[in-house]
This record gives sequence, C-alpha cells and structure tokens, in this order.
Amino acid sequence: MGNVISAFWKGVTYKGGPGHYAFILHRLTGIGVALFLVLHILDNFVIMFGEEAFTEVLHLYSNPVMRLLEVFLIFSVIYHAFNGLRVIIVDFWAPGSHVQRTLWVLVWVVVLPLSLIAAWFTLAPIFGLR
Amino acid sequence: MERHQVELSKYKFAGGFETWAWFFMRISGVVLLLIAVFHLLLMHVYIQVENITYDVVANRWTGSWGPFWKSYDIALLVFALTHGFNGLRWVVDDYIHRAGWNVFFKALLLVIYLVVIAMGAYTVFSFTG
Repeated sequence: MGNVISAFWKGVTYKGGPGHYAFILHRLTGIGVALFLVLHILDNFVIMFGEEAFTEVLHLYSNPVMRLLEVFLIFSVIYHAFNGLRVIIVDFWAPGSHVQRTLWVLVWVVVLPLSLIAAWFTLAPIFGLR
Repeated sequence: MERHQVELSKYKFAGGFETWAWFFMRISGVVLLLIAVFHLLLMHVYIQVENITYDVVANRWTGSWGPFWKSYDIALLVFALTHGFNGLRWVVDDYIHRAGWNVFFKALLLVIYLVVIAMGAYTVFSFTG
C-alpha cells in the first residue's frame, strides 16, 4: 500500500505547471466518466425488464441531486474530449509541445461555454426556471 | 534557448499491443469527441432529461431510423467502454506496481469490461419494444 501511495503522491506533487494540471484533470474526469459509463449501461439494461421498471430508473435522472452530478458528468466529458484533442495535437504536430499551454487555454475557451450552456439546461428546472 | 521539436514521423511504428493501444486511444478519442459529445448535448440540452421516457428510447430503436440508432449506440458502447477501460488499465499500471496486485486489478477490469459490454450489446440488439 505504501508504494501505491508514493507512486500516486509523485503523480500529484510533480511540478509540471499547466500541463500537469491538465493531466490531473484529464485523469480525474476520465475515471469519473468510465465509472458513470458502467452505471449507464446497467441502467439501460433495465429496459429489458419492461416499461414500468425503466421509467422508474429514468425518474432518478430528473432529481436535483442527480442533476448536479450530471453537470459534473457533462463538464467531465467535454473537458476530457477537448483536452484529449490537445494531447493528440501535441503528439502528432511537432510544434505542439511548445504551444501546449496556449492550447490548454483554448481548451477552456471551448469547454467553459459548452459546459455552462449544458449546466443551465440541466439545473434550471430545479429552480423552476426554463 | 534551443528548441527541440519531437517529430513523431521520425520514429518507426514498432507495432505490438501497447503501441496499438496508444494509437487506439487517439483514434477512439476523436470518434468519441464527435459521437459522445453529440449524444450528451442531444440528451441533456436538446431533449432534456425530464423528457427522456421509455417511448423516446423505444421509438428510436424500433422506428424507421432504428438501424441507424442501434448502430450509433453500439459504436458508443464499444468505443467508450474500450477507451475507458484501457484508460483504467493505464491508471492501474501507473500506481500499482506490485506484480500480483497489478495483474489482479487488470484481470478484474477485463472481467467487468466483458460482462458490461455483453450486457450493453444484448440490450441494444435484442430490444424489440
């Protein structure tokens, strides 16, 4: 267990600047989305048990706590997608590694507005808006 | 300051499982950027969660566009789950170095992957309404 913690701690405390923060967030969002994916395939499987059972599962997604988690999910997917694109550009385009910080700023320029729009549509009904 | 540019094209593609896994993450990443982000915006912004009902899902799979949506959902399932579980495999490799536990967690991931992908494929293929 000690070496697991030390390997993990090295990954967290490495002073890599913006590229390192980009990596940490990429890893966290990736793990989060992968776990949700398993849950999502299981909840879809419930459709095989008929309309009533499936409707009950679908209702879970409209409750306020789930809506808040959905905002994290939406942000995670969008961040992971666009930061992943940044990783691909750095990998395949030679000058990419020199502009990776700028690319990370561009990632936020795309991710923030998209996430905020999706967050509005997801959260507004809780406050009786929309 | 001298600038070192790493030209990927200068490296020979060595092949092997790990190289293909690395390559697959890039290819599936681009595919998922398109199909997973579209799925998300379609369900949460366009349709919106409170409007997703049994009928919405059932009609999509059994309607005239059924083959399209079933193919779309199978592509999502295969690309997302394979991408996600290969990512988790890398996480295990990064932090769990002791041989026994490393193999144990990766074997566990493989079992969960196979069970979940089978359940997903079964749902999409055998659903008749």
